[in-house]
Amino acid sequence: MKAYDIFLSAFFLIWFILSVMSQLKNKFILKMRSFDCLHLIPNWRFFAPIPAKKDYHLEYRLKLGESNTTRWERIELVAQRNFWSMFWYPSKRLRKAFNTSVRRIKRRLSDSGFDSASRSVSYLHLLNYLQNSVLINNAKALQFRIISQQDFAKNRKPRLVFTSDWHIQ
Amino acid sequence: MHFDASDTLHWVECILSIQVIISSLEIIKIEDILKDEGLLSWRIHRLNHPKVALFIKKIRLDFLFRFQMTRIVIVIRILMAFMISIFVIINFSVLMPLLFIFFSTIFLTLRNPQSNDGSDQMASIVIYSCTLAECVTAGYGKEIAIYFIVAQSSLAYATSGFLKLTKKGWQNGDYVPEILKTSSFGNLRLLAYIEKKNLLPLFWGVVWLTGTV
Repeated sequence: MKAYDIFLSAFFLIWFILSVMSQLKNKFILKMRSFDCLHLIPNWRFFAPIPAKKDYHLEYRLKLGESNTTRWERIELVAQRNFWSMFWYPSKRLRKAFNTSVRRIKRRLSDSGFDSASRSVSYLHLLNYLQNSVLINNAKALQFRIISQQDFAKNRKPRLVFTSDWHIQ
Repeated sequence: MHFDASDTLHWVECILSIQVIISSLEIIKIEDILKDEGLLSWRIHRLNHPKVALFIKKIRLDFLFRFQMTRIVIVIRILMAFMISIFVIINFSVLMPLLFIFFSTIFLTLRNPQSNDGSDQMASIVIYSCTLAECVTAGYGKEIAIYFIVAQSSLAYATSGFLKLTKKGWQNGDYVPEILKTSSFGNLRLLAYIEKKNLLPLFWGVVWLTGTV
């Protein structure tokens, strides 16, 4: 066995031990994962233990005058899935990016309150996206909200997850 | 169990190259989200890891993370993935294209991790392992890498399966229709079919399969 083989064995062994500890929600590993910007320590869940049971939607409205606001408009971020989506579905990445932002905003909201959530990077992502993609010719301000619902359920029951502040254009 | 480590690793690299091509094409297809005004704007995302962003700026690699350069990196990544398959077929060393994919994976993980899912993470682990293994010429290092990939795959499915076993919603089959009711992961026809028939044994099969694979 050469020195490189020994180094490689030790490296893979430590990596695997850290991966196992990460599944057990070890506090040390959880702290380490916040520094793991290369995502080397995995967290294998695949719908477990509680799967995602909601769809999230992004809606916005504009303030045109002092007491004149538009209705809430929904942004259709992702195309509906069809048969071929199991082979080719690039939009899933868009949905994943949006859902990740929503999850992080929700976590900040419950952990540290509205002010902290509205200063988060995920909030800025959504705001930046809306400010650049919505036609805001005469608008004085923009506000967005996040709605959750089960799109295919008979009784959809939309639920308000988060409403942003007004942002002056 | 005896197996030829080099051959096995080449098979893994071929499968990996297909994953790299598909995932890279997916990002190209929705490339607008990588622009400054998109959902994955680098201008905003770099605020997540200010120290890393500062370091990248310090070593003058910040230009790579701009939209145009990111697109170029992804296109070269696709070409390199094709080269891996070709090099495996003609029995030529895959180290050079693999190294590019290794560094571009690090780059894309820093650039837009929010759009990556479990399959991307597994692919990253396989890419890092294969690259380290290809740096050694002898078979032993390659064997270790293969065992590591097998162990990570088993861990991934075992964790998912065992965690599902602990929840009543998986045991009584409640969660599956709930997932199917979402447009993110569901299907309207399958939902209608499942609501008509009792498919509880099938759900248990899924749980046991993911836990024991």
